[in-house]
Amino acid sequence: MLILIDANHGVPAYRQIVDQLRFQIASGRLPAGTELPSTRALAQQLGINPMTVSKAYGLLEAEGLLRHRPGLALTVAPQSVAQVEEEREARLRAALEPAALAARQLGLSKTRAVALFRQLLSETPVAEENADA
Amino acid sequence: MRDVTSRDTPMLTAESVLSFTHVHKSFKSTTALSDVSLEVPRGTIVGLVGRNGCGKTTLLHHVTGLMLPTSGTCTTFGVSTNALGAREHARMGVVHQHAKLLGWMRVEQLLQYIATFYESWDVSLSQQLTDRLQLSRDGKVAELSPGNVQKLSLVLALSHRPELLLLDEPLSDLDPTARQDVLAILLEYFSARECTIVISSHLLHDIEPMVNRIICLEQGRVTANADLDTLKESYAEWIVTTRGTPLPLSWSEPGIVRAQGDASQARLIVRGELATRESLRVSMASRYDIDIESRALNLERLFPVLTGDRTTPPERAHAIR
Amino acid sequence: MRSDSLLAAPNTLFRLCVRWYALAAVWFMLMATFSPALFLGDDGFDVLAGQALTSGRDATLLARQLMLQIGVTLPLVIGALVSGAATELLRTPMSWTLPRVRRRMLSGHALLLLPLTVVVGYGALARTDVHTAVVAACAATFWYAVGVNWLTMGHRPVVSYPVICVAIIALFRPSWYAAAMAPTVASWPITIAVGALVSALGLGLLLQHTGAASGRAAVGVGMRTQRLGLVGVTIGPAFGRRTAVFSRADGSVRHTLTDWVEAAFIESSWSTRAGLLGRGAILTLLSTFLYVANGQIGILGFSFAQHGLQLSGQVVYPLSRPERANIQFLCCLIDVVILGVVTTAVMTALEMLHVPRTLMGVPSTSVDWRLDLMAVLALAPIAQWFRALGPLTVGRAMTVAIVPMTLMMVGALMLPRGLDALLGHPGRGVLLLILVAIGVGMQVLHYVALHYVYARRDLVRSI
Repeated sequence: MLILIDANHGVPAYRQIVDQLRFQIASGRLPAGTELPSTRALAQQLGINPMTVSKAYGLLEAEGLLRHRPGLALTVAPQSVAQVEEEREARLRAALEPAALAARQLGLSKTRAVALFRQLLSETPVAEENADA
Repeated sequence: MRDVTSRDTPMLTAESVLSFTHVHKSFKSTTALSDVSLEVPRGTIVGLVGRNGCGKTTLLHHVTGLMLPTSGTCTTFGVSTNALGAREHARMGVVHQHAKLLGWMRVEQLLQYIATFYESWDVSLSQQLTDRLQLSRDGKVAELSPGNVQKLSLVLALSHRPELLLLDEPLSDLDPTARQDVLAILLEYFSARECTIVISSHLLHDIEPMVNRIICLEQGRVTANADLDTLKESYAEWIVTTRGTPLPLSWSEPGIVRAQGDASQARLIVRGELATRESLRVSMASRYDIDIESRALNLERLFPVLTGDRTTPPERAHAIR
Repeated sequence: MRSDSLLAAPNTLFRLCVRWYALAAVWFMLMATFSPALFLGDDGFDVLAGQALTSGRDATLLARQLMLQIGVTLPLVIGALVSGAATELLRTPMSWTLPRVRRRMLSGHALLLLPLTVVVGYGALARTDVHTAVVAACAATFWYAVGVNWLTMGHRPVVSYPVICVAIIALFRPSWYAAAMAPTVASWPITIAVGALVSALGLGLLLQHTGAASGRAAVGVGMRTQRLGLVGVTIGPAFGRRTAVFSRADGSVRHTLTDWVEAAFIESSWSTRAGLLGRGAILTLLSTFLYVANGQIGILGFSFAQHGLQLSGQVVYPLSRPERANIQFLCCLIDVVILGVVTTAVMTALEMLHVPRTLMGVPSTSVDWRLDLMAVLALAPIAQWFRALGPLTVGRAMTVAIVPMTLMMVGALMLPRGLDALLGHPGRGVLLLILVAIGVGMQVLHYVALHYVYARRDLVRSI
C-alpha cells in the first residue's frame, strides 16, 4: 500500500490519508480483507504523528470502510456495489472540479471541454484489474 | 503488536499534564505573559509558535518552575509550579534554548554525571542516541559546535525517559539532515512511550508533521490554542477572479480576515467552519459575479494570520494538488 | 543501572571539584596554611618544634593562635573553593530540573569535612589540650559551612553580616579572637562544640533550602541578566555610562588609543568599575595581614595572571593587528602601574602607621618590600603573557596561567636576593635601579613579542 502525503500541505495530513485510502479502496487497489499497516508503522513510514494516523483510521472505520476486529490488524471492509459506485463517482468528481473551473476560466465551451475529456479517456491506458461494474 | 484503537479515541484525559490559569507575568517594565490560560492534555505533541520575543521561552520557564507568575496559577503534573519537587523534575526533560552545559567535561563524562541524578536513566538509550546523532563522546563540551550542543542537550533530556519533554528551539542550529534525524527520534520516542512533548520552534516546516496541537503566542497573549487539523480546516485561502465586473476594493463579509489584490484578482483569507465558508462562497460568487477557488493553508502560511500580522507576505508558489 | 546509594551521591560534588586548577588552588592553600614561616615568621618553626621562641613571646599563646587561625582559614577557603565549583553547575539552567541536586552535594560536603576536621583537630591536639582540639574540630565544621555558603549568604544579611565580622576578626586579629574565645573555650568546651556543630548544620540546611527563589535567581533567569553583549562597535550599558563608546558627536571614524583602552575598561567590568583599583588595595591588605613578607608576591602574581584590563578577543573590532597589539600592551602596562602604585601607597601607609605586618604581632624582619614589589612589577609581563590568547574562562585561565605565574613568582622571589648576592650587596638604591631597568627591558620585550604574536595568530578561537 503506497500512501504519499505532504505534511506541510494546507490539507491536514489525516485528511490526505483518508482521501488516498478512499481512492485506493474505491479503485480496487485495496480489495476487501487487505491488512493495513499498524498506526505506528504507518506513522513511522510517513514521518508524522501517530495520532494523525489513528484519527484517519478511526474516521474510515466509522464510515465503514475499514473493519477492526479485536486483537487483529485493521482490514479493509467488504463494500456493497452501490457503495463502491458512489465512492468512485465522488472521487472522480473531486478530480474533475478544478478541471471544470479551469475550462470555464479559459473560456472553453461545454462541448469542447467534454470532447477534450473524451479524447483523454481514450488516450489513458485503463488498468487491467478494473472491471467496470 | 500494539492495538490500533489504543490511540484512536481523542484524549479523554482526566488530568492535563500542564495547565495555566490566568497567568500574568511582568518584569520591571515589560509584560511577558498576559492572561494566559491553557491546558495541555497528556499524550499530545504541542507546537509552541510565535514571533521573536513573544514569550515562548518565558512560558516554558513557567512550566519547569524556573519562573513564577506575577498572578494566576500554573501547574505541572498537577502540582503547583512553586512546589515542584525532585519527583516532578525527574519526570520532565528540558532542552534550553542556549544551553550552558559544563564545558570543561567531556561528553562522555557529562552524560555519566547527569545519569547519576536519574533513577530511570537508560544507558543504552543514550548510547543509541549519540550514535544516531553522530555525536562524538570524546570531545570536550566547550569545543562542541552549536549544533552538537543542541544534540547533546537533547540526549540529556531524553535519556531518562521523561513523561514530559519541553524543547525550546531544539532544531535551530541543526543542519537539515540532523533535523530530520531529531524529528524521527522524537516521533519514535513518542510512539514508544506515553508522553507529552511541547516543542517551541521557528522551523514550522519541520515541526508541522509531528505536531498535533498548536499554541500561538503574540506579545504574551495566546492567540491560538487548537488542534492543528482543526486550525487548518477553519481557514481557507480564496483566489477570487472576476468574471467581468471589477472587484470591490474592500470586503466586508464576516469571516474574511485578510484581503489583498486589485480589480481583477484578489486573495482572501477566510475563517470559519467549512459549511459556513461554503455558503459564504456561494453567496459571494453570485453577488459579485466572481469565480472563487479555495485553497488550504499550511502552518507556515497560517502563521502571520495567527500572530495577527497585518502585513501580507509576498505570494509564493505552492503546488496545487 | 546506577544505584542511588550513599556512595554514589558524593560524586555529585566531587566530580565538579576534580579539575586540576581547583586541586592546584587547594594545594597552594594547604602549603600556605601549613607553612609556619608564613604565619609566624621565624618563630614559626620554633613553635611547631616546641622550642623556646627567640622573640620571647609566649609559645603556647602563639600556638593557640596559629591553630585557631588555621582552624578558620583552612575550612573557610576550602569551603569557598568547593562551593565555587558547585556553583558553576548550579548556575546553569540545566541544573534546575536535575532532581535533588543540592541535597546530593551534601554528602560530598560531609565526606570532605571528615579529613578536614581530623586535620584541624589533630593539629590542635598536638599543640594544645584535648578540649581545644575538640572545639577546634567542631569549629572547623562551622567555618567550612560558612565558606560553602559564602556565595549565597548575601541573600540573608541577618545571618551573614555577624558571621563575616567574626571571620574577619579571626583572620586579621586572631589575638582578639583568641582572647575572646580562649576563656570561653576553656570553660564551656562542650557547649561551644555543640553550638558550632548545630550552626554548621543550620548553615547546611540553609544551603539546601536556599529557597526556590534564590535558587532561581542563581540560575540567572530573567530579563535583567543580559550579559554585556557586544555587537560590532556598540558596547552595552555599563553602570549607567553612555552606551556606545564610539558613537561620538563629531562622528570621527578614527578612534584614538584612549578610546579603545576605555572600551577595554568597560569590558572588564566583571571586577566592578572600582575593582581594578580596589583590587590592588584589598589584595595588599590581605597579603599584609595574612601572610608575611613574600606573601604579597604570591597575591600580586596571582592577580596579574587573572583577567585584567583587556579587550574581548571575540568581537570583530575595526582594528588592525598592530593596533590590537598596542592596545594589549597598553592595557597590561596600565594594570602594572595601577597595581604597583596602589600597593606602594598601601604599604607606605601601613609602614607610617607602624602597623605590625603579621597577625601574630611578630614584626617581619626579613625583606624590604620595595625590592620585592619592584621585582614583581618588573617581571609582570611574564604572568600577563597568556592574556594575549584572549579572555578565557576562569578554569581555563588558571590552568594556562599556572606555569607563567609560577615562573614569575619564583623569579621575583629570587631576583632581589640573587642580584644582591651577585653584585656583592651594593645597597638598596642600586638594586632598585637595576630592577627598574629590568622592568623596562621586560616591557620592551613584551611589546615586541605582542606585535609578533598578533601579526600571526588567529583572533578567534575555532570551535
